Amino acid sequence: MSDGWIFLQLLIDGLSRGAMYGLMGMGMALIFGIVGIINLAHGELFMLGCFVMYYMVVALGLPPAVGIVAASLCLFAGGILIERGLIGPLRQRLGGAWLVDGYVLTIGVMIILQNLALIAFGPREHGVASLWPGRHFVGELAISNEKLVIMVVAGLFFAGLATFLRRTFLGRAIRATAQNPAAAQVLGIDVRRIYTIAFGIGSGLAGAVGGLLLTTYPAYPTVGGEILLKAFIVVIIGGLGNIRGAMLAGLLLGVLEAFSISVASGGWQNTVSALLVIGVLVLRPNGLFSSQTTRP
Amino acid sequence: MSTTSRSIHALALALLVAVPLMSDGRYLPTVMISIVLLWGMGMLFDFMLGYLNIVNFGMAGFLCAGAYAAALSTSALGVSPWIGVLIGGVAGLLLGVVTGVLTLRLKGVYVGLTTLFVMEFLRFSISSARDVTRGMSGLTTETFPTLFGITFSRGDPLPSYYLLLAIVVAIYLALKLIVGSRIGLLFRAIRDDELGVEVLGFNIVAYKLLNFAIATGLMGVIGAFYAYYIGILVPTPQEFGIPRTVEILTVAYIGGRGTLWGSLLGAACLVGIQEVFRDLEEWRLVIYGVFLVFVLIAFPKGLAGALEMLGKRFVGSSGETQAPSTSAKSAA
Amino acid sequence: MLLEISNLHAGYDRDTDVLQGVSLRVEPGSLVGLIGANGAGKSTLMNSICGFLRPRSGAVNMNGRDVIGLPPDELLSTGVGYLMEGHSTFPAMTVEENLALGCWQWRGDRKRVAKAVDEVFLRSPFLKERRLTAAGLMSGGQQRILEIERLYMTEPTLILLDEPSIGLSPKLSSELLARADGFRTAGAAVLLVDQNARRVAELADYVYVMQLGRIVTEGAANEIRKSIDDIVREFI
Repeated sequence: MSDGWIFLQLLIDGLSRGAMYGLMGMGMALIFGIVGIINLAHGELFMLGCFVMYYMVVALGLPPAVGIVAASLCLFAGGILIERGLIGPLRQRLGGAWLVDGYVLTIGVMIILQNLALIAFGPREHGVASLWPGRHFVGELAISNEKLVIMVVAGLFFAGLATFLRRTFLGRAIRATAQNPAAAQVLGIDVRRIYTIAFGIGSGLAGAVGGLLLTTYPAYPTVGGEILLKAFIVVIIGGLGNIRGAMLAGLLLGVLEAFSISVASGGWQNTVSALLVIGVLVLRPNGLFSSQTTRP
Repeated sequence: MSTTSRSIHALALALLVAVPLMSDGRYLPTVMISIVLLWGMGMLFDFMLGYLNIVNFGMAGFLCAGAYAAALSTSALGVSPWIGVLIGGVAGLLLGVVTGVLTLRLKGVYVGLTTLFVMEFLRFSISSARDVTRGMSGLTTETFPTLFGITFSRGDPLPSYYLLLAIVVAIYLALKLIVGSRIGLLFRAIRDDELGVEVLGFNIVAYKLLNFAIATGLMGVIGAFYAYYIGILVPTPQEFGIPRTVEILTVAYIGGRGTLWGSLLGAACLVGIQEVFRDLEEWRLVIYGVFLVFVLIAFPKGLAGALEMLGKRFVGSSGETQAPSTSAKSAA
Repeated sequence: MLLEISNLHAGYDRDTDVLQGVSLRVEPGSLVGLIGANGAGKSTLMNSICGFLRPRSGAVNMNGRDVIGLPPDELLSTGVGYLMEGHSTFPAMTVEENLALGCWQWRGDRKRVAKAVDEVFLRSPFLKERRLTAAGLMSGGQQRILEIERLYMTEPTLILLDEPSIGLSPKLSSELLARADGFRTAGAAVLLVDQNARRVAELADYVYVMQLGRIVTEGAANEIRKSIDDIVREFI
């Protein structure tokens, strides 16, 4: 393989890896941007998506697309329940001073979901070798269908979410609520409903992504820890609450990882990305790609 | 200190001293060590969040710094563990000051995230630097050497328990002293109205750094104790990552912020639920999670707050503390 | 009577009432002015009417319906439009998006939305020029006009204006107050709070003067105008 092809191969691998990271961060960015809390149970929502997918596709033999839709619908409903039942009441109660309490609440949700999953499914990994078998060759470049699907779906999800937020009335109301909830209320927007919907969409996204990535991340109760950390990294580098930023940061991180693994082996990549995150937080708290007015 | 408060403190201390003696064997002392360790860590988290509103999601990182600094100083340089405890404290403090300086200009959640990634940075570095720390294979540690004829062995945790109790009670008293002093008053003033205090000409940054240094330094001391007590250090998330921080956080929240002693209640609940419901296996943590969510929504001031309210009612002074619920905007 | 407030008590803390028994009436199609020094409780009164602050006691009736404690988004359907103090645009959204949200109540009716936006563009052409600009990038005065236009799109029968001209140049400020007057001409009632007491007294039909959470003087505007110098001196 010539250097050019190796470079291309690494780039493609990095982009598909990055698409996964971007997807993980997207739902979290949405929830932070609109609802104003960092959802520490994000990884557990992802985990439940994995399980829904596993049972739909492996146990029931349904096509993967059905599994992903089922995972997103289940988690959308779950997210709505969590917001209505727990987060909403806490916000009502504490008003402006609820920030850290909101995180701790999602920690409670995280502990509950993780251990319920342990009881229901056991600690074993429920995985599948491949959802979309096969690969394509372009010159010396090998691209598996799996990677192709992940990249295409990432593009679709991102474009879909962006269009929804930009073009529909509900999407605009969601953005308006994020920017100035009191002004939104005065225009007749029921902001409590908006928070619930936004949280539901964020969780539905986490579920869908969990389903999509079942081959890479098999379903087991504590898979969420790793996902949470990646989502954190992506959301911070992209700027808290910035959906486009999260996607870009995901791609950047994926490509960086792909190249650094090929250059140096060993576990120092994690150290470097932690350092990068600290750097962004201290020097550019609004993220690498922020401009003043492009918050969601 | 009022007489009531004094007698409650004496009672609590008597319980802490006596409980491990109630049965033979390792069980009770081991359980009590978990409780007092968590109390100490929760209390330090509370000292930052409850008194100065500093969100430190990286608590486990300072524990980690203290533990590894102490363990390595003993294993590589042959330093006595008694000195190692101090070295652990210094390591926690140094990391704390660096983190404090990094986060000075940041607000709220950004401070929390930065501390969290400082913790992960340290943990990843330790797990990668295998030549020094033995990475995921684990670093074995010495025990405390015999002192005044008392031997500390892993077979009999009782002496270790009393050593820990002495350390944590000393921390409690020291923090209580600070909180009650002029510095503590300023901490709370800054917590409630940062701008107002700044206008009065106080150096807010210095007070925040001071708080950071005290809390992380003491966290390092606890980490050093932990290293010599536990026998082997492994940089897993459960030991020094997000799950550990989560434990500390929930203990402080269930117990109640801004009290210091509330974390003892929280720690007793966390460990107690796990021990009492031993037969329920995984359901124990579900119960704990539900309990946490319940306390958060029902008693925003934690169990300590609930108890204080109950106490006031018992003594007879009226103190209805129901804040009016405003829906969206709080200021005029 | 369009809006009738009687004996309203409200405050932010448990034990202090900012409003100590305020009563006030607005008749359909009239412009009522509310003036008072800083801290007199004008904004608190506005927040209490609009559901941002739950009053402790008293009554707020809109068209004879008890609306006390109704959240702001539901209050809109009773015909109350509220211009908050300070900026209330959605800064990262375009001018057009901001305006469209003024039609949230009838969002299903695309034609009606388009028509309402066009009408705004006709009234304030500069908004049409900037329709794809992020609202937060416009000047303070332009944002205020956007806010007022957006408010008017909700088709309110009672418009509450909280300090609409604060922070603006004298020229823009009187232009904005003229707009308030225009609402009355168009048939809506207006409750106007502004720091420019003299100008309010000139525009209004009826004026209330507030001090330390109470209405201390009220009267037809021509009566108040006579003693306006004394009243303003009181504020300082």
